Amino acid sequence: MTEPRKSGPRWYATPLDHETAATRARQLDALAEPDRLRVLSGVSARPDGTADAVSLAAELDLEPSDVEKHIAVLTALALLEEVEDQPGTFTPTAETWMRFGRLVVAAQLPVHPAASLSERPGVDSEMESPPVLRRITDRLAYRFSSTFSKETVERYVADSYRLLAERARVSQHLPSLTTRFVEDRLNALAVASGRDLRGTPEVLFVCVQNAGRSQMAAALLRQMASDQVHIRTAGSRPSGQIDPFVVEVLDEIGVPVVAEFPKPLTDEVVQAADFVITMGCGDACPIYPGRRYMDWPVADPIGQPLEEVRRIREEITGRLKALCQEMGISLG
Amino acid sequence: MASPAARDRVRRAARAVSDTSEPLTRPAAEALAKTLRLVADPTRLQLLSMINGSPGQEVTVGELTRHLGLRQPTISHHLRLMYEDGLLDREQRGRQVWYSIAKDRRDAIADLLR
Repeated sequence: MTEPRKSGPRWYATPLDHETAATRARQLDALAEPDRLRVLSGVSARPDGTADAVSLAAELDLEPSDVEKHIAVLTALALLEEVEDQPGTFTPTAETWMRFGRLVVAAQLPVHPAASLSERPGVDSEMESPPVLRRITDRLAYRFSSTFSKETVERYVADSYRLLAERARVSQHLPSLTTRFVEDRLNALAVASGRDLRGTPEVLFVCVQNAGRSQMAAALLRQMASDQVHIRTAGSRPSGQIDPFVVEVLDEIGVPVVAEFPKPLTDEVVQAADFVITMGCGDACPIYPGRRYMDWPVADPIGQPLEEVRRIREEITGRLKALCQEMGISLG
Repeated sequence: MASPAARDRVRRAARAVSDTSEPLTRPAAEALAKTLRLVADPTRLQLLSMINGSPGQEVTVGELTRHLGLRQPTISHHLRLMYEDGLLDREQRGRQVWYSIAKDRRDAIADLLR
């Protein structure tokens, strides 16, 4: 048997690069303050993982104004973030749970020997079950489909969930925390590998059958600006196939209808979009905050004579040009 | 898959644990702050990341010197500080001194390096 220590080179992990090491050092340096640590620890130890300055101050026997200052520093370092819709209430970020979770809370807890992912203590079985991971994976795989394979997304979801589940105490927020964490990691990965997704708007066209108007709009926009926008389509009541006249009038002007088959309108499709354009089915479309909704009153080409379908094509083209302008996309 | 009974037992134990979960005490926070201050240095973080990522999670000064492009006295100085704090263990084997991250700190340090 060879003794690897004495016989030549061994395998090494790449050490942290200078820049990462310097950033991390600054973060740790700011944390290396006992009261600030107790503030972070106080938030992390809460059953729901959120707290406000006043109640923390009482719990930790500190001045509220000091706690506020510590919270400001921790927020500036992206170690805490304000809870959406709850001003003044803060929660640790996913990165915090991952890097410091075990230090500031879990380190004090006895480690349960049976605590595997499938039966981790403190996590409700509903949250624990694979369906939630599958849902997260499906949604993110959809969102990142032009950049990463579903397998990659799946691996990141499982890995991130495991990392957070081992550290975070907040079982009820675990799925949303995981989703945001994976989004951040995949965005970072995309940037690192030169495939920056940010700034590329995601447009969703919705009509009733996903067989006429939305398909036409998608095909036309793809022709206009395929490299500057991600395009999806869906229908509130999808039909079996794309209308043949629609295919014909697009073919006339050299626009292919590619790899689109009528798809149902699901929540994750809408959630993945930045711009949601409905054509004749406005009410069926779920509304989510942060999305831009537009309803285009375009007539349904299905069953219409060829001439009318051509007119609809031109109308959609005109609306798409205006949309591109609004999205800041310059057409060549 | 665990049996429902085993699952229930785990959950009960977990509830007991989470009910008693409290923020760091002041002495614990002071001790942790001291360690973080020590680790909050780019060179020491790089050293720790190399030790953490090496086979057997232990290295010699010579190996660190070759791979980090720093002078040996510099590296020895940083290693000594971390050894004195209890962050590192060291063991003399033959003519070589092997450094590793103290067992009770490994998880925490690995987390910090993620």
